[in-house]
Amino acid sequence: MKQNRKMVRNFCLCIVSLLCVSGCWDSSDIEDMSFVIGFGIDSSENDQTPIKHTTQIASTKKKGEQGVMPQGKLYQDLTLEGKSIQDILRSISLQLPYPVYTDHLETIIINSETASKYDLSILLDQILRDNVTRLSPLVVLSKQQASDILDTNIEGEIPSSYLSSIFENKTTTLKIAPSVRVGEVSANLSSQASFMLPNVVKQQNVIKVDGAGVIKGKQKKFVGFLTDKEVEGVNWLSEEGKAGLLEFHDEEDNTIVYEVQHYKTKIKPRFKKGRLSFYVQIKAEGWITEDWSRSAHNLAERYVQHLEHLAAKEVERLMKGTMKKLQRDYEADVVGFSESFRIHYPRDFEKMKKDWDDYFADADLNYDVCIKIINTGDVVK
Amino acid sequence: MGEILQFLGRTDVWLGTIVVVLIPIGLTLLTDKVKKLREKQHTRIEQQFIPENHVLSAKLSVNVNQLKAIVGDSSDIIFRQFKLGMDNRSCSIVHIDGLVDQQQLQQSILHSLMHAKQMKSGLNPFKSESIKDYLLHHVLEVSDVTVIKDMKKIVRQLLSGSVLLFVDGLDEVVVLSVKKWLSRNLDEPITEALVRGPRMSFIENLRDNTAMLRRMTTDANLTFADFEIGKRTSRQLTVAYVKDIANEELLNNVKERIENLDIDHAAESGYIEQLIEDDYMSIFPQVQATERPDRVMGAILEGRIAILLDGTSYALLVPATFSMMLQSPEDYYERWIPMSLIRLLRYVAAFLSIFLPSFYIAFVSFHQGLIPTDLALAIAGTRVGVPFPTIIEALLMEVSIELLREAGLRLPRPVGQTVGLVGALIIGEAAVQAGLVSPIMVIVVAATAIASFVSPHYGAGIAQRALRFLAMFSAAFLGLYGISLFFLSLCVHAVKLRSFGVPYVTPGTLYSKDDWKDFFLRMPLFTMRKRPAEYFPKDQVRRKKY
Amino acid sequence: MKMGTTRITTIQMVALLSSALIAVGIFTLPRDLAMKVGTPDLWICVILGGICGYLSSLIIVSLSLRFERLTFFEFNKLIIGKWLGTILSICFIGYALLIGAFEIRSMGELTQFYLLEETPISVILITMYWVAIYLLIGGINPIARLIELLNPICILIFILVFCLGFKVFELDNLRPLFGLGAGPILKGMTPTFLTFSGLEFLLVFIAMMQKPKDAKKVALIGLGIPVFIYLLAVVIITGGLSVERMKHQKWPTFALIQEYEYEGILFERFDSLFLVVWLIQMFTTYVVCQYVAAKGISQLTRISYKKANYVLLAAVYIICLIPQDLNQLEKMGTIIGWTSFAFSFFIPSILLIIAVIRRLKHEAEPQNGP
Repeated sequence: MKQNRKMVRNFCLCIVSLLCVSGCWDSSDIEDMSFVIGFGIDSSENDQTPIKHTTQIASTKKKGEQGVMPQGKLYQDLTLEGKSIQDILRSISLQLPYPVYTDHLETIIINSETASKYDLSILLDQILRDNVTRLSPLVVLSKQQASDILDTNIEGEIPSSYLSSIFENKTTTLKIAPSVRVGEVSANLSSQASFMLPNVVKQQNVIKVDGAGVIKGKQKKFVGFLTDKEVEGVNWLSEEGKAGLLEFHDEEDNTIVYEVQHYKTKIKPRFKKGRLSFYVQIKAEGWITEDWSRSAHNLAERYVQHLEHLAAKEVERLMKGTMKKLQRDYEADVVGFSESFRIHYPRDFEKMKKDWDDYFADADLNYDVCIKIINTGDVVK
Repeated sequence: MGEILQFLGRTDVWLGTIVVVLIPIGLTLLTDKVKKLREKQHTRIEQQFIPENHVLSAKLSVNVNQLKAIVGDSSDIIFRQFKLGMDNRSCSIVHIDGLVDQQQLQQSILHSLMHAKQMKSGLNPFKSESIKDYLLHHVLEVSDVTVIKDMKKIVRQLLSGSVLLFVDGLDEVVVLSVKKWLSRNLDEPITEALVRGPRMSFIENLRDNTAMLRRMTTDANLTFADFEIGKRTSRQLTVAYVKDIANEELLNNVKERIENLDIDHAAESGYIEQLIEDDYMSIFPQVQATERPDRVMGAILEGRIAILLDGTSYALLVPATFSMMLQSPEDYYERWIPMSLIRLLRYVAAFLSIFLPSFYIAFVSFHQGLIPTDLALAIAGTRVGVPFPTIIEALLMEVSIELLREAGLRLPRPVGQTVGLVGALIIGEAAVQAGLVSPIMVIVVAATAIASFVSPHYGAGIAQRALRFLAMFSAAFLGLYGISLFFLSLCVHAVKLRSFGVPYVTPGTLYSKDDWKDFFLRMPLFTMRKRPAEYFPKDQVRRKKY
Repeated sequence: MKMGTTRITTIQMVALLSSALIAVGIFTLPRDLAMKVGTPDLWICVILGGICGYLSSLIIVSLSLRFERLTFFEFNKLIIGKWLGTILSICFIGYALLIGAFEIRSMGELTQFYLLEETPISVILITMYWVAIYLLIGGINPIARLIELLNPICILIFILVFCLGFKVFELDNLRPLFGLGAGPILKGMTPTFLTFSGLEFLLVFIAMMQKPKDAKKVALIGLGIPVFIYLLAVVIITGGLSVERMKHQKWPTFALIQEYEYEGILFERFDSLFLVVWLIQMFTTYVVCQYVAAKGISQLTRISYKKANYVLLAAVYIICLIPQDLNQLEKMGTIIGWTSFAFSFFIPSILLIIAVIRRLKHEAEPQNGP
C-alpha cells in the first residue's frame, strides 16, 4: 500500500516536470522576430531562378531609443532570387538572425511584366495557403521593379505601410482605384472574374498611385493599364468610389470643379435574343467648389442647370472612354456588370459565366447621368 | 481495418489516454482526501478547566476559600470582606480589578450594602431565603442581578467581569453586573471608507456593536441569538437576523455550523469564517467580512445573516456571492446612473486585475499577429535588450509590486506611504533604465495594480492577486488558449461553489428578474420592490407601491 | 421554506439546449451550404432546417412527457422491451461520445491552426479534457449553471462579431431570391439539418427539468437562438463575401472577420476574440454530450456516474484521435449528421407511435427526484 502510494507520487512528479520542461512550444518573444511588412515580386533574367522576391522587414531595433526620433531607414529590404517563393522566404533565414513573420504583411507589389508572364494565382499561392498570413494585405501592380518601389526613402515611413495608407483617401478623390486585398484577389481568381489592381509608380522619393492594371479572369494574367482618368470612369460605373472631384469645362474652356458628395450607380441589364445591353443610370449630388468662369451669376437657376448638364456630359464622356478601352482593348469586365446581370438573369448567367468577358465586350451601353448641384458655395458672384 | 489496428498500436495514443484519465483521478482522490481532513473527528477528551467537586455551602469562609482555590492568587482579583448593614452578617465581594465600574460598585453596591437599614417588611433576616429576597428587593441598586448556584458558572461570571456577592448563610451567590472596561471610540471604517455614508465602524465590544444595530431599527423582529465560542476562552458570538425575513433553512444551517465548530480560542471572526465556510480549498471568500454597521443592516434586511464576535470589529455576512464582492454600500447612497457605471467599472477592473498581465504575455510571446502592426513594432522596440522572456519579466515586476504593497502595509503609516510611492517610482524607473524590463511592462503592471485597488472588498482583492499569477502561468504555457482554459476552469470552480446553499455565481445563474436589477447595474431604488430572491426570504416584498 | 431546487430550471434548459446546438457548425455550415446550394438563397435553408428541427423536437417532447421523470435510457425499455432498449441505449451513448469527440477534435484542429502551431494537438486536447472532467464530476447542476452563466455572453459576442460584418455587407450578394428556383435550396437541407444535431439530448434532459410542462417552450426558444445565430452568420457571410468566395474559403467565418478588420482598436483582429468565445461554446457542447453518455452508463449499469465519467474520458480521447486528418474528420461529421437524423427524428417517432398504440404512460410519483 505504502509502496503503491509512493509510485503514484513519483508518477505525478514525472508528469508535472515533463509538462514544465516541454511546455511553451509556441512561445517566442516579440523582439526576436522579423516583421514582414511588404512583399515585392519581380521576374529575373536568370532562367534558373525565375522569381526575384523582395521582402521588406520593419526594423524594430531602432525604435528602441526613448524620446529620440528614429533616424535612418526604418526598414530593411532583402532581394533574393529563387524558384519558389516559399524557398526564398526560407533562405532569408540564412542571412537574418530572426525568423520572418508574415502576419503583419501590409502590401504586395507585383511587377506588371511578371504579372503578364505568370499566372497570378501561382504567384500568390504561397500567401494564400499560409495560415499565418492574413487575407488583408493589399495587392498592387507596378510598371517599375517592385524592389525599386519598396526602396523608396520616405522620411519616417515604411514604404509598404505608407502605400497602404494612401488608399484611405478614396473619400477625397475618384481617380484612385479601389484597394484590393489578397482575399478578394483569390476569390476573383478562383471564379475567373476579371478585376483591376491599382498601379503604383515611384517618382524621385515619392510613391504615387497612378491608374490601374487590368487582370483578365480567364488567363489570370495582366493585360494592360488604365490611366487615372479611366479609373475615374471605372469608379463612376462600379460605384466603388466614395466621393471626389469632377473637373469639367464650360464652352469657353473655363475649368469648373464639382465635388461629388455621394453618387449612385444603377446598372440595368437587358438580355434579348442573345443581345446584351446595359442601361447605366447615375445620380450624383454635390457642390461646386471652384469656378473659373467669370461671366455667370452662380445663383441663377439657369446657370446651375447648365452646369449640371455640362457635368453630366463630362461623366458620360469619362465612362464612354473607359468602356471603349475595356470592351475593345482588354475585353475584361472590371466594373462589376456581371453582378447586376447575375441578379437579373440568374439562369442565363449560369451558362454565360465562363465566357462572360466575351459577352461583356459585345454589350451595348446606354447612359443616363443626372448630376445635381445642391450648393454653389459661400460666395455670390 | 488495418488502419484501425495500426492506430490502436500507437503508443502515444495510449500514453495520452493514461495521462488524460489518471491525472484527474489522482487529483480527485487527493482533493477528496484533503477535504475529508476537515471533517475528521478527533475524539478529544472533555476538557475540565474547573474541578468538578465544588459545591457551595452556607458558610461564607468555605465558599470564598473554594473560589480562591479555583482562580488562584491572581493579583487582579479583589476579595473584600465586610459586614452587612446593621446585621453584622459577614459578606464578601469578589471582582476583577479593571473590569468593573468602580464608581458604581462603590455607590450602588458597597454603600447600599453597608448602610442597609433593618427591614420593615417583617422578613426574618436569619433565614437564608429571606435574606436573599431582602437583598434583591431592597438593597442592591443594580439592574442586572442574578442568583447562581453552580460553581462553574460563578467562576465564568467572575472572569467575565461581574461582581460576586457571597453572603454568610446563603448557599448561592448573587452576581451583579456592573461591567466596565476600556473601549475604543467609534471610528471611521478604515478598510471600507466611503465618500458618502455613515462614518461609523464596528468596534471590539460586542454589546456596543449590537447596540449600533439596534439603534438603526425599532423592528421587534431583529433578533440576536448568542453562542459561546472557544472551548477554553469562551467568547460570545451573536447571530443577528430579522426573524420574519431570514429563511429558516439558512438560519438553521448557520446555527448548526456554529454549534458544531470546535476551537480553543477564536481570536478574530476570521477563525469563524474559515471554520464555517463551505469549501476551504477555494480561493474565493465565501463569507463577507465587513466593518460597516450600515452594510450589516442592509444585508440582514435582505434576508442574510450576520455573525458578530466579541473582540473584533469585523462582522461576517452569509451567504456571500461573487457579485457581492464588487458591491459597495455607496452604490445605494448615490444616484443610480453614476453608480451603475461605477459598478460596471468595478467588473472591468476585476477582470483586468486578473487577466491584464496574462493577456500581455499571450500577445507578446504567442500571438504577435493579433496586435496592430504599429503597436507590435512599438512593443518589439521597447523590448530590445531585455534579457528575459516576457513571463519572467512580468513575474519580476508583479512580485516586486506585491512586495511593495506588503511592505507599505507593515510599516508605520507615514513611512509606509513613502515606501509605496517612492519604491514604485524608483524600482520602475530604475528597472527600465537598467534594461531589465520594458517600459510597456511597467505600464501593464501599474495598470493591473491600480485595477486591483478598485475592489471594495479586501478578501476579494487578495483572491484576485493570487489568481493573476495563475493566469500568467497559463498564458505563458498555452497563450490565448491557456487563458481561455484558465477562465473556463475559474468559471467551473465558481459554479461548483456554494455559500450556505446559495450558488456562488448567483445571480449569474438561476436568473431572476429582481436579482438582475442589482447585478451589473444598480437600477433605481423604486424598481427594487422585492428583496433579492437568491436568499429565499420569507417576507419577499420590500415596498408595497410600485 | 426550501432554498432552491436541484432540478434544472427552464432558463437553464434553454441555455443548455442552445449551447449544445451552437457548435462547429458556425465554421463549417457556411461553406457546406455554399457548396451544396450555390445560390444566395442559402439562408432560407437555415430557416427551413430550423423548422424541421422544431418539428422533430416536438416529437421528442411529447414522447418524453409521456414518461414523466424518466430518461430515454429508462423509458425505451418500457416501450420496446429490455434487450432492444438496452441496445438502443448503447447506440445512443456511443453517438453522444462520437459528437463529443468530434467537437473537441475540431476545436483542437482549429486552435492549432490559428493559435498554437507548434503545440502538439494532444496537449491542447488533454488540457481541455481536464477542465471538462472537473466540471463533469459535479453532476448536472454545475453544468447547467456554467452554461447559464456563459451562454449569454457567448451569444452576445457572436452577435457583436457578426454585426460588425455589416461594414462589408452588400445586399447585392444576397440577390436574387430564388434565382434558380427552389431546387438548390432542397439540396442544402441536409447540411443544415445535420448542423442541428444535439436536439436528441432533450430525450434525457426533459426528465430532469423542474417544470417539464415548459418543454415545448424550451424547445422553441432553445432552438430559436441557434437558428438565429446561424442565420445571422450565413446572411452576413454571404453578404460580405458573396457565394462564390464562400465556396473557396476553407473557413468563411474567419475570412469575413479578416475582411472587415477595424483598425485602431486593441482587438484589431476580431478573429481571436471570436475563436476564444467559440472555444467556450465547444467546451459546453462537449460537456453536455459526455454528461448524457455518462448518465446513460450509470443508469444502464451499476457503475457510478463519477466512475463512468472517467471511463468515458478515455474512450472519448481515443475516439477523437481516430481521424488522421481534416478530411477524415469531415467524414466523421457526416456520419454524425446522419446518426443524428436517426436519433432526433426516426427513433423518437417510432417509439412515440409504439407508445401511443400500446397506450404506455408513466406517471411520476411525487417526491421522486432524479
